[in-house]
Amino acid sequence: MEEQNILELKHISKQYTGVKALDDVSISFRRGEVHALMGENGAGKSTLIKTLSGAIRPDEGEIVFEGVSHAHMDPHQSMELGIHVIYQEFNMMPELSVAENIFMGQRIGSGKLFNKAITEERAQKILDSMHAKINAKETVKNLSVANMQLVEIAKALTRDVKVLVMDEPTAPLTDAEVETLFEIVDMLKKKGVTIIYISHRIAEVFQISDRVSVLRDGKFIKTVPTSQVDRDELIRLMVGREVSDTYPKRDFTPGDVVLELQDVSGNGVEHISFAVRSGEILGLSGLVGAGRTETMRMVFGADPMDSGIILLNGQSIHPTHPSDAVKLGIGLIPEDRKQQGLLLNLPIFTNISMATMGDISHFTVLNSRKEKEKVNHLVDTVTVKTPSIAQLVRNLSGGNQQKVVLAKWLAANCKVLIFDEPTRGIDVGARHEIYKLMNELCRQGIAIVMISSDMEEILGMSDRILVLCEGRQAGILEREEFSQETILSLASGQ
Amino acid sequence: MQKKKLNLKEYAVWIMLVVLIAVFSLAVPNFATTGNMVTILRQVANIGILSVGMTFVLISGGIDLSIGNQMGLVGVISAMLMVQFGMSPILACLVGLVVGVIIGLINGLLITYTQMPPLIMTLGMSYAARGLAYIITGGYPVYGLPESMKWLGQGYLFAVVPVCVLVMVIVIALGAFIMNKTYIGRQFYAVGSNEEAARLSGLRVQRVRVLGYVIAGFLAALSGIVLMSRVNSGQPMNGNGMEMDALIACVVGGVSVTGGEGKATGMIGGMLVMGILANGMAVAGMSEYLQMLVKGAVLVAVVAIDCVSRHQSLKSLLKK
Ligand SMILES: Nc1ncnc2c1ncn2[C@@H]1O[C@H](COP(=O)(O)OP(=O)(O)OP(=O)(O)O)[C@@H](O)[C@H]1O
Ligand SMILES: [Mg+2]
Repeated sequence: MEEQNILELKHISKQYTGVKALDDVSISFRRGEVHALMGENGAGKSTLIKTLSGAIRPDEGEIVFEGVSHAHMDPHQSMELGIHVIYQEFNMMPELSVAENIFMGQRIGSGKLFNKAITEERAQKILDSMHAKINAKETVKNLSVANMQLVEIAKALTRDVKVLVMDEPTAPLTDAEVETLFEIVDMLKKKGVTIIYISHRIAEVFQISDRVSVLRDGKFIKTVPTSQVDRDELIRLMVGREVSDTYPKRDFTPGDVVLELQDVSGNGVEHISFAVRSGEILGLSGLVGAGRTETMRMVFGADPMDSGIILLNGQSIHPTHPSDAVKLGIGLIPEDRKQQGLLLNLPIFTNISMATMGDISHFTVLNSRKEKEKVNHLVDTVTVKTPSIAQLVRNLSGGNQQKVVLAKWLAANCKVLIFDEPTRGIDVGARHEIYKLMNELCRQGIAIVMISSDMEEILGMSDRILVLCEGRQAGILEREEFSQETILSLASGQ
Repeated sequence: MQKKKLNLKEYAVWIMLVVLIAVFSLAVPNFATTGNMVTILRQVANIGILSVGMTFVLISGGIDLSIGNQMGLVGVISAMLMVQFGMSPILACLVGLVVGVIIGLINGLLITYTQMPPLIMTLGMSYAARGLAYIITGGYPVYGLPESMKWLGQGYLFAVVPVCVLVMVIVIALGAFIMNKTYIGRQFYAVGSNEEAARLSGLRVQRVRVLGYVIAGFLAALSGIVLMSRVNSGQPMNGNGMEMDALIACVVGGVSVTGGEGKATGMIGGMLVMGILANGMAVAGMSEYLQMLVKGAVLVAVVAIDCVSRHQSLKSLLKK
């Protein structure tokens, strides 16, 4: 029994100011298994992984790898041992080529000089072996998120990897891309690689994992074979109480049209026309790169529009800068929280009040009491897990960072809210809260456009669904027409 | 009970200040006198005014190396207006301030619209300003300022408070207020922290950045006028190199050169540390070269402490 364990974490603890991120956690991992790690936002999953990769040192505990005990790891050592971590936030050099990224830090060929041809050839071989359609000569910044993910995996395959850790690898992926990823996971598993897999998508965990370990508030709860639990049981273990996991119903009819696009083109999309009514959620579906984000960025004034008309409450509007849109009452919750949503080195309250500073100031002088009240209220509404609103956002877990971005736009009292992948990286319990919140916003008469790659979410939450395919409008579905098959066939252009 | 977080970054500069004062008071006989304290404050007045502008620019993610030489240029322009054109001191100083604002505006607009690195733009502006100052004066100092012009740099209020120190205090207080308490100040932090996120939150990012350079230009001009008044002449090389002293004061005070971080209070500490260091060493009779060496060493030491304290390693070291 002991023999099969390639890696054991024993009594690991890690304390941050005001937060016990890990509290006496012991988990063991077997050779060649897919081991899922689950828990709510801020449960300590990423922190645990960071002790493995040597990014941080635990205060207490030991890490036993292939029978050898270590008090802590350092990044180089961990890699030498065959542990490779793909972080929640990528770790790449965007200006360099795929091949250079894949072999970052390794010497290729015999000479001292960097051998471009051989590097590219070897990188291409690895990518082909993964059945990834990526050119090794391409610059990384031109890749889609899904392909970046695959490059990260390719990086691990250049070394003799024994344990591959993936922290929410599927959060930015669409279903088709997830399938590709799972094929690769399967292939690695057959080779005897241990895979530690973190995800908030429960269905996925059931699909690929052999065992699952649950963390809650920094404490280890249980490891169980996946075949011996069901969905509800797993959620109960994570949350510690009963949580509804269905999509809450909206029981009112939408009002007048608030936002209307007429034949809008530009920014890589063409001839988009749709209308959203107050109290309605319009889902925007399509493959990554179909132009969903691009369309809505034009509405928000973040990117220029070539032609077409945008109407807000029947009036033609021409937002040329996000500040125009904000003034008109349009908000956009961007898909990439780190690059586009957050001021990482500033506190939570600054982040949340950023879009609404005008409301909490008098002749530009901020009213800090009013700000505190407002922010505290919002932090409670979206349940950000933090000791204080003065905490720097970079110290929050990924899911809690996402909640901060949501809170910022809830503060803004918008008429139209554009949610771009609103629940990316958010745990089950909080996800349900956010859905309820969206319903509440609808009840207040706000028009919502929701871009989502999560099929269940888009089917469960939308009143109507607009499907895009390669920058063009493939169709608008009414509720009666909703089905996964219809959406997929429209999205893939059939 | 929760232990309060040890924040070396915030306190390092104050600890250093206390240590410096203690060391100089014990080692240098003439240091701890009221007269010398006032002298120190007068000596830091120019840097203090300048540093506030630098802080705004740094927080918004830029840097302005032209502020030092702007001081000289504004000084000679105002001086010449008074001496050669007989303009009243108030009007001449106002024109000087406008020149500072215009230079800041040029810096800001060129940087935001061409996207060139601020370092290069302001370095170029620095040379241009200095060149212009030499061209219009022919390289000679402008003497013969009206008596009333002395008041700003050399005068005292109620016979005890030097006017230039008062100006500095007002500038710093106003600067700190804007940075910490206003919507405008918040925008500087937001832009310096993540420009794209700030833009997508509806902030006019380019305006904020331009405003930073305008504030820096305005305060450089003010500082230049104070200096002109103190030395009682328009000197084209006035202020040359002071941008570096301002930068050091900011950095020592914990203002991040990568933007988004830093407080006016920290900058005050940094400025005082550098001022006391310079004064103490001078009073102790150390050579100017030795002073340079020490200044450099202090800069590196403080930034090193800051960088280490950001990483957890030192904290866990202290715990053991
Ligand atoms: N550097 C830090 N300073 C202070 N607190 C931290 C730091 N890093 C993490 N934390 C806290 O530790 C806790 C665990 O964070 P962690 O990132 O491990 O959560 P997670 O389980 O990965 O959550 P998510 O699903 O949202 O990614 C959180 O409460 C977080 O705020
Ligand atoms: Mg995480």
